[in-house]
Amino acid sequence: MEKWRRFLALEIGIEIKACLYFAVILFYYMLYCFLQGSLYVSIVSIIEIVLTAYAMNYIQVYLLHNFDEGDHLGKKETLLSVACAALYTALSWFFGWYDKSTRASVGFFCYMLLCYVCIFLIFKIKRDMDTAQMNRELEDFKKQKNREL
Amino acid sequence: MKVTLQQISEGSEEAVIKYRQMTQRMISIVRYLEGQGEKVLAQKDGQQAVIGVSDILYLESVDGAVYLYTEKEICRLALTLTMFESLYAQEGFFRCGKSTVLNIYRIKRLTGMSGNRIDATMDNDEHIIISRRYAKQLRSILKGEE
Repeated sequence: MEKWRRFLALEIGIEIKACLYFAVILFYYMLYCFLQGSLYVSIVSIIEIVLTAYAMNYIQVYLLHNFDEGDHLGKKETLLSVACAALYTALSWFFGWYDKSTRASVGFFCYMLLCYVCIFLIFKIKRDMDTAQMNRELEDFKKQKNREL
Repeated sequence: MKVTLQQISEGSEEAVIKYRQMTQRMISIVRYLEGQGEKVLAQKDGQQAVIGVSDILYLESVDGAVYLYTEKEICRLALTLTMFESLYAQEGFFRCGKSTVLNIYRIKRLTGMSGNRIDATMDNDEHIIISRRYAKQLRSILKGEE
């Protein structure tokens, strides 16, 4: 039961992050298409983006020892973030999302790096707020006992 | 509760408590006045040791044996974790893992971690990681929902 729960927690984590990265990549892809003068995006590319987002998150969890960019940003995490952004860029090049344009691909790499940093910051802010709230409640809990005495 | 204080110049100091029912609050007041918290009998280096329950930071079960940790001592306890938890839940003891029970009143600081886990820094600066499953329960206790 415990193993099943752990597996489910990992799968849900992958699901959430895959959706997040799909939205992030789709935004850049749509912006690229728009700047190219097109108001249409390819369904095939969208499917590729979805599959890429899932594949990358599976790689992060199962091959990169559950690398979570929202957890901590040290040397190792920075290196892994750069590697993941590079892998996303390589896949975008392979699938030809940006018509093999070097400028768009370099922009995409920087954009993905920024996304990793932003996701870390968002989770960090959320954790800091949660920590402050919990410590307030802990103090209240301790005071409650003193009041009872 | 009505509190009556009377200053005396002779004789020994005395506190008389009139109660309808012996509630947990009453027990706490009595213990406080007696100047002794609840104590447990433990074993340290083959010798018996009396440990104040409020001095216990956390308890851990290792290979079927239960050890209690205070700021200075580690002693072996004859009770099981489940038994201890049920006896002293009112004293702030909380199951924070399969093999760990910690004293909420001896937590110095809590830190939120990824995956909804919590890092509890105890009064002796030791860190205990509370998994998502137990973290939810701790949050409820702190909010006074349990």
